[in-house]
Amino acid sequence: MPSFSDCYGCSLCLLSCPMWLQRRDVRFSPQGYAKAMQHGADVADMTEQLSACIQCGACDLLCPEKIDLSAMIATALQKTPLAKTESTCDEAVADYFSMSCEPALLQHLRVDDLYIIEASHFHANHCLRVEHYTELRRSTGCSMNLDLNRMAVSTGIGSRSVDLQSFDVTKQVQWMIQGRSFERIIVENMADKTMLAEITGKPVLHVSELIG
Amino acid sequence: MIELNLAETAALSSLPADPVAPDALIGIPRQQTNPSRWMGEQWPEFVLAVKQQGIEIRERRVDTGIYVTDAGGLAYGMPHGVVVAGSAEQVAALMKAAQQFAVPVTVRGGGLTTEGESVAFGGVLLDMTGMSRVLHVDKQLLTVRTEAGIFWCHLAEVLRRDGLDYLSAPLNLSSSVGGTLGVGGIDVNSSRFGCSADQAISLLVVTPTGEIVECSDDENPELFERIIFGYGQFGIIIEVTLSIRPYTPLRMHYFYYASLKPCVEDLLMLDVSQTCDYTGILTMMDSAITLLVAFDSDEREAEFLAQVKPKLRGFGELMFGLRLAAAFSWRPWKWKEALFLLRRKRELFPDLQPKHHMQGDKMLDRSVVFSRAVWKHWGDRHMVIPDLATNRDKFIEAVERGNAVCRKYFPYYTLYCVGIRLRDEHRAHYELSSIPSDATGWAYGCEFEPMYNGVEYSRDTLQSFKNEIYDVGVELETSYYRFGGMMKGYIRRALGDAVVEKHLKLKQKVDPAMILNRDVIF
Repeated sequence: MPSFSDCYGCSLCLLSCPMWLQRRDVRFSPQGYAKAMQHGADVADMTEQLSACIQCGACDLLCPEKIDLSAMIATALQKTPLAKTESTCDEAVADYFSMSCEPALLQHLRVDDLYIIEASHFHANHCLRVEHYTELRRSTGCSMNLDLNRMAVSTGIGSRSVDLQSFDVTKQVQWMIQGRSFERIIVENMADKTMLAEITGKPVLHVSELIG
Repeated sequence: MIELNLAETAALSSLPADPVAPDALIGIPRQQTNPSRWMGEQWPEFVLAVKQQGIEIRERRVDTGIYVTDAGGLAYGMPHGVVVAGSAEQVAALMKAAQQFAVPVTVRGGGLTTEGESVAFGGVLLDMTGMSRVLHVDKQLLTVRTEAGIFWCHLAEVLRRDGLDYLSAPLNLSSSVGGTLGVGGIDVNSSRFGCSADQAISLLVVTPTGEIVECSDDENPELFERIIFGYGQFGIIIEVTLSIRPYTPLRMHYFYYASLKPCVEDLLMLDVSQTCDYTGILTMMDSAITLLVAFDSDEREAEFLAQVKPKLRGFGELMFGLRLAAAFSWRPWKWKEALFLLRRKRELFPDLQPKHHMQGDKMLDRSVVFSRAVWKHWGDRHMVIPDLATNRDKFIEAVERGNAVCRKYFPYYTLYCVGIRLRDEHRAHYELSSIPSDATGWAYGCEFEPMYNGVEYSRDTLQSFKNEIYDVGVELETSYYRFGGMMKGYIRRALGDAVVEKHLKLKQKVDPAMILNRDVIF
């Protein structure tokens, strides 16, 4: 299994990394962690950087060496005082993907909807799910929080990094909606609902409300 | 006195005998190594001066080690300290202090150099990705103003939200805009739009002595002339205004050839015909060569299909497969090659048309698709890609001779060929660059990339391979794309003393302490 020592610095993991996009500092990226560890860093050297990761999992898919970067970060986090911080993210969430497969969704999604895919669940099973969401987008004409790499732009809402004030959700949402034209937002993760409504000023529905 | 022959000398040495003719280039070391390390004279005084101006400089090994090598993975070096670019004023202050204390500054964007050009052998490493935001998109004038440390992928991401796209960029998502403009940048549409560097309308530059200057064809044109294709010698690109265009998905066609010459001839013919929006050659082996053709519009495609396609000598996938199978069937000694081609096809082809990047038969995100395929199927820890850049007349010979060198060193390798439309008004930009001085209309580039297939090759083998490719260029009196860093020994042989001396004098004038991107060219 490839490990951090296999990182040779191609920078591909930076391309969809929310943490890097906010900071523009390679230390705040999986590549930065890996390279620092190759040069003798321990978790104490990287506590600030580790705390900024929202663990969306996009980096795992982009890494050409197939390093399990998010697991590497999670393992490092376990060795820091941050491990004791409770996440507000409800892990016992509904099956987002099943909800998105409901036929009713096809009927109710509109061209002027922005559909927010729950990023970490999407990335965890990307190869099976990306075609489904691509088809959903084509069939309905709605927008989605997908970037050019077909990774989901995570909101970061509810992540431990936001609790630790090391990740700016407002900035992230502004990037997510930049240049996208929409009148309504549909979210898979209930945790996104309130804050997205506050930041965007648009009506936000949970996907279960749409499919009835 | 006892005279030893080469073999005897090698036997006494800890180094193996050089596999390339030892006296092919008199005075140019055959086995290139890292430049000598800057030893840190006046470093503490420099750091103090920089910190007094509020500039953060990172000196911990865990921070400097991030930049230890580049995409080539052959040159290794550590800076004394790292500065992440934050503003033109910060970079200007850094450069003034660097001049005062004669501290080398190495500028790095995506780090996608292959010869150690973005590796710091001591001194300061300036990480430009700290300045990587799009500043303004002008949808009417079709221009974008962006910070230079931005990756082309992120630029595409921002532009796409407005239904726009860049003109041409390297097929590598993590190349930076500033780094690309410094060396050229080629794409499969460069035969139509020229290289990436020719998209630049204006630049904000910090000079080696710390002045902040805007330059373009009209404003400070001499500086603009030197910065574009300047290999980072004459200033640091901070901001860039680029031409852009409306985004269009594209429709691809692939034609297959069993030998290089007809394929290259067809590429040359297509470029002159100007009937295609994208053209390029990508080989799996020199017996399975793909001519890639693509179009932005249905009208252009229809015109091509009616008028030009019948003239091409390549085959469709099915017909080519049948011909190849027939050719292999009575040559059992080549079945290993056939198995490789089958495996390669099975792995590669789905990645060249993934459903989620397609809309019907149109490709939505060519830069993402090609770039990911490049990293997955060609990229490796040692991205060794020597190249030859020639005029039209020399191109076929360059490709065939380069291919013969590849065959000598590696069982598996790939060639990537494109045409580059030249801009007559930018001829001065091309003076010390990959664009050969004898090219008119189009220049042509061919990259030769080994595929390691799990085999470990020594650094000396890889270096010898690069040398032998470049020796072909010297004989053909042509140029190269990657002539900096470890390959700089070839610059004078390829480009001539007069041009190099001229640029050296210009460099000494604008960079008195010779500290900016030391050892890249001079």
